[in-house]
Amino acid sequence: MSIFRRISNLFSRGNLEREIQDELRSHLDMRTEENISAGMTLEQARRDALLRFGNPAVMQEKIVAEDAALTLESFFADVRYALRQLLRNRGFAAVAILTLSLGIGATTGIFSILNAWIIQPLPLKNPQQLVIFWRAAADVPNEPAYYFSWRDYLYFRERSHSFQSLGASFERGYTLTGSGEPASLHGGIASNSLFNTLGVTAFRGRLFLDDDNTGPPVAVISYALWTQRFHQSMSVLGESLTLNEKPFKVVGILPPGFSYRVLDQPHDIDVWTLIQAGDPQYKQDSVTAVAIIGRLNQGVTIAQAKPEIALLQAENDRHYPDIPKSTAYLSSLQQDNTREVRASLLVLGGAVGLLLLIACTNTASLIVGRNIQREKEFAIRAALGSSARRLLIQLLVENLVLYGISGALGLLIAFASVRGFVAWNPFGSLPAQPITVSLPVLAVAALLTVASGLIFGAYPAFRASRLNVNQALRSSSSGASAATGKLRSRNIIVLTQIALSVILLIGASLLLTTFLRLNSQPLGFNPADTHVINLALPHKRYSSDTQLTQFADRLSERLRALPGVDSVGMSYFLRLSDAGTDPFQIESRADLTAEHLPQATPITVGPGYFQAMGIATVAGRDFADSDVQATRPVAVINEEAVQRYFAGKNPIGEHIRIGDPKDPETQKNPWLEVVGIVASTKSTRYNQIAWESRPEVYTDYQQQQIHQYFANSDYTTMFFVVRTQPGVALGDAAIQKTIWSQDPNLPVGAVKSLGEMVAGLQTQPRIRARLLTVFAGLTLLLAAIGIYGVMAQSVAQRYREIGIRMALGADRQSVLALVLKQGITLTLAGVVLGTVLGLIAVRFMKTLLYGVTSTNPATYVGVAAVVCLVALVASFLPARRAASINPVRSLRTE
Amino acid sequence: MAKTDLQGTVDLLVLKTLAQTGELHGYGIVLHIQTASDELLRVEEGSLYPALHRMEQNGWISASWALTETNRRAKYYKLTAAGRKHLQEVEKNFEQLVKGVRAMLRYA
Repeated sequence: MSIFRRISNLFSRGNLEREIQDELRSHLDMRTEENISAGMTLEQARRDALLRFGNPAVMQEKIVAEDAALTLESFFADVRYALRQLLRNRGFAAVAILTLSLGIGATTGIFSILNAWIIQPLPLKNPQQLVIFWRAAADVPNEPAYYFSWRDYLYFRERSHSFQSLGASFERGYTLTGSGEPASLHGGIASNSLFNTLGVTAFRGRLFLDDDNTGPPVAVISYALWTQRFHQSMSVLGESLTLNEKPFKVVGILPPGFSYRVLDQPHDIDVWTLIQAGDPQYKQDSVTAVAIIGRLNQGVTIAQAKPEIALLQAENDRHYPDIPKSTAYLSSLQQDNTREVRASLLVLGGAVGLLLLIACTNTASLIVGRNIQREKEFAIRAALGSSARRLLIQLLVENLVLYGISGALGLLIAFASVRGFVAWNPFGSLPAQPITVSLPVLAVAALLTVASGLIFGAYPAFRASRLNVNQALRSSSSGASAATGKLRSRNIIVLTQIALSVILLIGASLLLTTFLRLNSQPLGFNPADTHVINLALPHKRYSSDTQLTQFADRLSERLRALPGVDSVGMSYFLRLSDAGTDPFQIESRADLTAEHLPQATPITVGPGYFQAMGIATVAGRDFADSDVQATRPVAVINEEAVQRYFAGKNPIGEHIRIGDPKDPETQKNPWLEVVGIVASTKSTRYNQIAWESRPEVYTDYQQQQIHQYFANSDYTTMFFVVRTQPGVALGDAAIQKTIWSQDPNLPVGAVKSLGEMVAGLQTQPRIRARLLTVFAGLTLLLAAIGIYGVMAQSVAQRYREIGIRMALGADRQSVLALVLKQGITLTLAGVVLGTVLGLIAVRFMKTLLYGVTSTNPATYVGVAAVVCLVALVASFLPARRAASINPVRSLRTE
Repeated sequence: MAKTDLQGTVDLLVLKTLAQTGELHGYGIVLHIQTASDELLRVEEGSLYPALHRMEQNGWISASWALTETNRRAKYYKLTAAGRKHLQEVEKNFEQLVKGVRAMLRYA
């Protein structure tokens, strides 16, 4: 192939030139020889030979010019020239490269993160066929609100035709004992069809078989657990593991890349066990919650499967009217895994895209500006014989070098930002697959770099190539008429930048307002100065209500005795989000039918709980030590329940009973007398940012049969809220010591504060507000630089014109006004454009807002004011310089 | 219309020379063109070499160093298969050019 030969010539330039020289010399020699034999003298012969031949040096050039190699070599010359140019204009190069590499780096980084979460398919067989089933609340149809129950799973499995197979699973905390240190494991319990449905096969050993759930208990462990705990020893297969004090035989190890998560779980499961056939929690009509996953039949879509499941659900629910109203909601497993982070990631992606756009336009504006300054240089070079094509190529090469360096630097930034993100882990969970700077993302970034280099490089180069040499040389750099026209392209760029930063600022300020509103929302409890301890008391040692109550009393007393402790409260239930509800009856309202039964979250608490939580008692009384098993059972309800179910009437003295009247179990529950009303506390729902008050019924810990609530578990969970005096730091260690003084074998998890729990619920809004504010700030800064650059350049080019104006009597004020006017006009146009585009853009983020509408006028006015102020400052500096021009000197220059 | 220009003409002369003589160095090609054209065609001798280099790059001719009858080192060129094919093409183009020009001249 001739092209290869030409390119290879490039690397053997020395040889080639020598060969050409030899050849030409041999030609001249042969001609000389012949001339001599024809009778000429040596001198004559040589002269004649050269005459006939032409200039050998020129010939040699011409021969080499036949080579593609020459073009390539001139390309390298251009690159060297471009590097020299950049070195000479260090300020320009630094700003341009920094801006661009930040833009490219941030974009590549963010999109790599986005890619791992949203675009990359899950590492399972045909993951697009995997669907997860939820119940959604009637008012929020596209968010999971409840799990389905085991009985729903059995019903669907028997009747559904859209799925090849269904699997059920649920999380189960396991404590591993017996071999080495006891460890707390992320456990899972599954139907034996789960792994088949997921399409996974064992890495070693085997997974669950069809009859495993009737034999002795077996377990399958994750690759991670096998590596960390068992050091990849094969002897673990067949070994017995003691989980929650029961033996399980390990039969298999899952493959290394396997990941199956439900509902944004931050971790993969370490150890899987089976739902046993005789398990009382998993009987034909058990309401035990399970995550149902299905593999769609070939060619069936989620949309097609949904009506069938909805129908089956309605059919099955008809037999059990006590469950809260809900609709079936199917989502792909992939979407299920990214529900909480999706909105944040997309906002982030949009913001970073705009940032890249601004970075590119800023650099373009810099390049255009610089090339305007260099027009004379181009004109001279054109006059000296540089062809238009040559100038164009050279300018393009210069831009490519600039963008190439920035691209390389940007990639480094991308790698760093991905690493930083993983270390920071702001969402509290990482995607199932590790985040890497992926090849397609890398390719897109590279393409973006080169394309923007060519596009933004081409325009100035095109301009330069069309330059009229005469005109360019004649017009002085301060010629007024030419300057305005040249600035138009930069004006458009600056206008775009202002518009883009207005869009981002609008978004950022809406999200920030949202976050502030969420944060300033009175929650009904006081999150400051608290410690929350969650304990799991094993049934084996705490087998009666009396034992539990005694433990709670003793520990509360000890905690209260700690220095600086203000109050201590105990509760069997403490959640700030997704608290389920139970139906309850009101004795005086026998007219309420099953469908209209009041719903409330039942919470059993000890005395002092309201005080420790900072929940105000509005009317009546708190629980007291005198409320015991022998006395009349009492209840405290919150204001939300009063409003909803007692129509604002005083409920004190009314009788209520928790449970559905049709359920025979309800008869065992006592009628409770309402003795007090407390303030409503706010909580959230899964993947919803809004705080809302939900009806609650509090009962007394001494009057409730706690044990039966936890019958399905191996543990009873208990929460202690410790409120300290303001400013007192109570160490976690002191709390641990106090607990162990009561029971040395109780595992004590992390001690949290209510403040941390509240902050945890606002992770997404907080991150969105923070990141978008940072991006908006950056873009505003870039836009300010852009305005300043254009104004400064404009003043420099109108140097002479301004001088003449001043000589003719214009005072400083009017010159100042003249320049400022230009900047303000530009800014206002940008603000108007940005506001219009912003109004369109924020329509996509309505669901992310709370306490502020997407068209909140104050936001738009505020953003416009901020942008105008920044633009005013940015154009004031050049304006002041214009006003201080010395007219005499300006007229003398040139 | 047939694509023919001056460059094409030099190519034609060189390729034809090599087709007629087999293997020849640059100087020999110059001499051959001169003799074969009855001294009518005389090229600036040096200007032959860029054309030779280009044709070599295109793979129409191949070159090797050898000794002349006077024991001088010279680069000998010969036609490749691709070159033979190309020659047919240029020859045809040239015929057409001549025909066209002649028709032009005869036009009354």
